[in-house]
Amino acid sequence: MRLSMMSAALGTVLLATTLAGCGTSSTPSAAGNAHTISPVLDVGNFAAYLPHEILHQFEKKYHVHINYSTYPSNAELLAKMQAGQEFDVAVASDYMVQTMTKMGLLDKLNFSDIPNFKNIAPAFRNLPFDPHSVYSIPYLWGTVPIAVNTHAVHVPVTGYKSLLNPVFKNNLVMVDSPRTLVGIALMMNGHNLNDTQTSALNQAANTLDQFRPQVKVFNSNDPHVDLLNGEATAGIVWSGEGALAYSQDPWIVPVFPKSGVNRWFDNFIIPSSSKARYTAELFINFLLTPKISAELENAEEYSDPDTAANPYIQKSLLTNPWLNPPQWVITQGEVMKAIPATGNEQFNNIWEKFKQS
Amino acid sequence: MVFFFAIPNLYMLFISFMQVGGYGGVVYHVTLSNYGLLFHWIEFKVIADSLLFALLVTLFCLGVGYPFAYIIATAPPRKKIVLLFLVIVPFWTSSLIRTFAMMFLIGTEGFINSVLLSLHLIHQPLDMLYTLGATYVGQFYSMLPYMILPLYASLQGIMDHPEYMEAARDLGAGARKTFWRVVAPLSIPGIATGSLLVFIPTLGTFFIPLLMGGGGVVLVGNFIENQFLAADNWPFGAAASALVIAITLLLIGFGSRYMNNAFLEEGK
Repeated sequence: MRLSMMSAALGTVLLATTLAGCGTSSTPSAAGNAHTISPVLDVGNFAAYLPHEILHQFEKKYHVHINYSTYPSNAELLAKMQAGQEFDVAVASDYMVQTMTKMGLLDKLNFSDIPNFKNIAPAFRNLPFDPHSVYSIPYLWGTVPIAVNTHAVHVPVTGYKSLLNPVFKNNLVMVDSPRTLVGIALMMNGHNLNDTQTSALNQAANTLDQFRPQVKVFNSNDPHVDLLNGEATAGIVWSGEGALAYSQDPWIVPVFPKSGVNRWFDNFIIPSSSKARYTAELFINFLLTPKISAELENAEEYSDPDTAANPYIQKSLLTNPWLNPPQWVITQGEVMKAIPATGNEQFNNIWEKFKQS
Repeated sequence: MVFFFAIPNLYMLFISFMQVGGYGGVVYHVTLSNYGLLFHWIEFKVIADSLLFALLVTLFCLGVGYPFAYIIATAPPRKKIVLLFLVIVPFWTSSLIRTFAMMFLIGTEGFINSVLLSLHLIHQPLDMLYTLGATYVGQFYSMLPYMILPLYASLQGIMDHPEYMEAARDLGAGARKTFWRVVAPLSIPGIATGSLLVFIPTLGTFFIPLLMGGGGVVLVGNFIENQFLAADNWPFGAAASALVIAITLLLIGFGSRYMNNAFLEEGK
């Protein structure tokens, strides 16, 4: 009996990871019923990334019931879409927008239904992963700078190499993300962070290896905790996490290295399986309303591409150095693009080897 | 059972023979290459590390759990209830919450370091969190009840038959000899059950190395999770989990020989 209980438990765990994969591929796009509002809207987003209050406001205004579901990562969103889960509107990161475009999973947006697109500042349009702003509109954006606790550390930190200083030995927190960190190592060697040439990646792997003794913890979920409770005195973390740390301890500041900073975007997309395209566009337009967009940023503490929202954003966020990088970062920060699976595998191999060494 | 166990597992087995798509996803072309990849150095090392980790955790649990179970089984009734309660209460708390509590205890600015610093026993905080040692302690702590309870059940069964021990004593065996020649062999089913219940989940664990080891400790559970969620290579992840399941089934097949037969043999 013990055994069958154990196998049932094992089965349940496996099921959770598998169930999404049991369906067939997505159905072709349904007739969009132009300009009629659907009573139900299926919205997908990263977990803890949209206050429910905003959803309720939309539901009330348009008499729409929102089915809100979340996913922890881009890969899982892709897996869900491939497995046939239908989202009318979803949020995906930069490179994933391009991957999905290449796989034919996205519909072009009808911008005449999204007049608030005008609120998106020019710097956040026509981004490399969607060069003519056809399939996506930025939702929130951020960077991945260096974090330094200037109260605990008294050596100058100007670039990634500064983190090799012995004072940082076994003292860094890094996000656990192959694309981000191998990308930084590529930029340190003068390559683009999307480079998949073996010679460039070998160089990056060697550069990365020097950092291994410095890393104490890999943490993508809540690296601000490691910065705040003294586990790490510096690191490489998401700007939103840094902003969170800064709001509790203003000694924890960002450094934007001149050798290159990754700037990332999470974007609204409409999957081609969407059955409520017009309602989805209304939803995107609603979220781009300055007041609503500000409400979003005030709650989530990332940077808002909707600059018309600025008057409604909390002053503490507008002065937070993590959320307001220097202009050169906004214009020149490098953006991730889709890379083929073979390239992705190389990034992952380098990263796995790095973590284990 | 068919729905919750067979279908998902067969689906995973099926996926493990498929290819990964150009930009992730699964392409339905049959291949064995996913299994070939498991014999690369990094993957091989992850699996070897995980087996060693699971083995050592099981031995620690056995080393601590056996005396504890023995004490419970031989304790007077009232004390027995208290002791059993101490084992079972942590069971009622999510192991994730217990892990976070441990992180709070052993952190750089955590409870233990604060106490030691304020008592001037140390001058620098000890590095305990985010180490391999922390991963061992975390896994050991979360698995210990799974070892103690089957051992207790087994030992209690033996203690309910004092005639075995009396017979040994009548034949001139001392306490030590009675234990090693009578009690220990009779408790083999408990040892086998407890060891399997500890070894198997430990082999597949992923959140304890992630939280306590700081992500630098990569075991096969972490590796599989990474293939599914970060690397977007489901076929490879499925092949790795198929290997773990194969190891598990082998162990269950091997262990089940020892799990309940001993008493039956005794009765014949």
